[in-house]
Amino acid sequence: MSFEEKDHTADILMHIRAADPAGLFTDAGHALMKTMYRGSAKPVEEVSVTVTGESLEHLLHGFLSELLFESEVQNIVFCEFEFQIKDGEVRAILRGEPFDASIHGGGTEVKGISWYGLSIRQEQNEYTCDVLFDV
Amino acid sequence: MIEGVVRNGEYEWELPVGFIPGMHVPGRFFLSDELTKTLEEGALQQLANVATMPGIIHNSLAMPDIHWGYGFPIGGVAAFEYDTGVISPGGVGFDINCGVRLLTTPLKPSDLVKKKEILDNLFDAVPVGVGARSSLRLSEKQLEKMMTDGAGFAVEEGYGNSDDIIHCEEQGRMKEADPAHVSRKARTRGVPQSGTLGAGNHFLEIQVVEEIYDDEAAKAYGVEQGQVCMMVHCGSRGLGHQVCTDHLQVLEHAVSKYHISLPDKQLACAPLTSPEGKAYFGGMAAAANYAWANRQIITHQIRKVLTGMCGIGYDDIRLVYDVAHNVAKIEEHAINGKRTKICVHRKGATRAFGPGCPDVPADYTHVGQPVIIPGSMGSSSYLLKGTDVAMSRTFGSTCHGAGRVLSRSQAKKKIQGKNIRETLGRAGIMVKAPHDGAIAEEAPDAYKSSSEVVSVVHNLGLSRLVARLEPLGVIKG
Repeated sequence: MSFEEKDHTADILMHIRAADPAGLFTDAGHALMKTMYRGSAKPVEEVSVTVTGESLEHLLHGFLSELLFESEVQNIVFCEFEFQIKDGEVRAILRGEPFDASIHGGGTEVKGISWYGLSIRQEQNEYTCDVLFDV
Repeated sequence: MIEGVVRNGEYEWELPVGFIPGMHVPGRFFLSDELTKTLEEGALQQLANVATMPGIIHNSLAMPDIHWGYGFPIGGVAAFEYDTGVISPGGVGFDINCGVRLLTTPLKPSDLVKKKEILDNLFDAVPVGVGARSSLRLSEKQLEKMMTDGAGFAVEEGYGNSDDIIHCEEQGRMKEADPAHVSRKARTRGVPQSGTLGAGNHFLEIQVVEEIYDDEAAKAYGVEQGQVCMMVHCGSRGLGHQVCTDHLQVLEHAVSKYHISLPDKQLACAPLTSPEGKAYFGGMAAAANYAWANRQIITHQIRKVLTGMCGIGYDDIRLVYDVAHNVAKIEEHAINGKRTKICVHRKGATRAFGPGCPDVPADYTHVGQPVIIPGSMGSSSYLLKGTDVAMSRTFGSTCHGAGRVLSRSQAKKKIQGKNIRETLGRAGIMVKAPHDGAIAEEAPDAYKSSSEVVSVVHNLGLSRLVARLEPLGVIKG
């Protein structure tokens, strides 16, 4: 459904809300890309990633770490995400366009995904979590 | 002050054992009354958490630039027994060997008639900001050597001179580096980023030495009033960030394997002598070497620009020193009167070895190691010297910088990048960055006063003031 930045002195703390785990992963992915890049991107290139982990938090942390890695090494600004989430595994398709400094430049460099406060809560029809980007 | 904290002197505060359950030693931090106003409770909690880690010696320490970090507080220092202690990426940070180097030139500010063009050329020569790529094309073999030999690799490749090596902490190379513990992913991130500055609080500055406080030390360091200097602040780029991410995964499992009880998952660690602990240390040291080589390559680019534009020689631009302020090292210190091998974590803290220490370069040994404290954008930076007090009280450590007081989003809401550029411009400081947002995030008002931080360590004797430098031109990532 959404993500919003909360105050954190040293790093970037995002609060994510979504109707289901796939939505939560999607918004967390958008939150990371909006931190790293300015402007918008088109879904013209595609990359697939698979992450395994013992909990939903591990899967989210692993997915975001993988998204950061792929974006940095492929030099792609991702704007669309598709997920298959099952026990202990996430398969994701990431779509975006090559980084162009004149469009996407001026973002914040993210060094890694922190474990700080990373706990996914489910209440009625909503999944929420905080995720901290170390910058 | 937060309940339970005990004041032990004008600048010294203690978290007694029992402040939180499981503390093996007290927490100790150094702040002036002024700096207590911006102290975060979360940072103190982190200081106490570190005191619960196995094998910690004497105290969990924090310098006056303490603020909330990952695992350890930023400004945190902790030493661990070699045989029974642990090593933790939370005590180093994602940006392994983030550090600073200071170069002197024979130029005076009046020689910088083409300051804007110099800044433009530096901006073109040193890739900055998110997405910036190096023009160097490192081979696999070269990357391996960069991780093994550090600054020495860069000099061997033609990016500097042998004098540069002597004037780096560890001579720009941790001998314990083991690239076998640097993953394919980390290498992939490292190749296109060698010789790049990065973003965030990293910078390249043209500065002038405004004031000398200690003539003897300044003379030893080759620093004079009115001299134009260059300061570089950056780290191990994506390679180091990935080493941290990769090893955190392994160490998370090591915590349960070795039955370590921790109050915070971000302190994931392993015994120094365990396979997991040795693997992280080897990988971290390789990333530290990458960072030293990175700053050396940037130094070469600076020299090329200045020699081309200012009519000075390559070797006229001299490296005063290069310090690491995010690192864990095996060092020998006097523990209960006996020379002992220990592991010192410095997370946003600078080594400050005093006179006579064998690790201080021969030409500086009579005054102690140079300590370089970068200011925030547009504010003063300082050159200090290491002391015997630091050796006996803080495992030879001091502060590393100003420390944030405003979040990046608060800074951007409160401050316009364009306004800062204009304000600094009126003060004679030119700023160049890929985007105004980067300027707003790193505005001087977003940080504690570096002068206040430095005055605390000077008054305590954890390092002593040598010189103050003021910015003339700033390149932000």
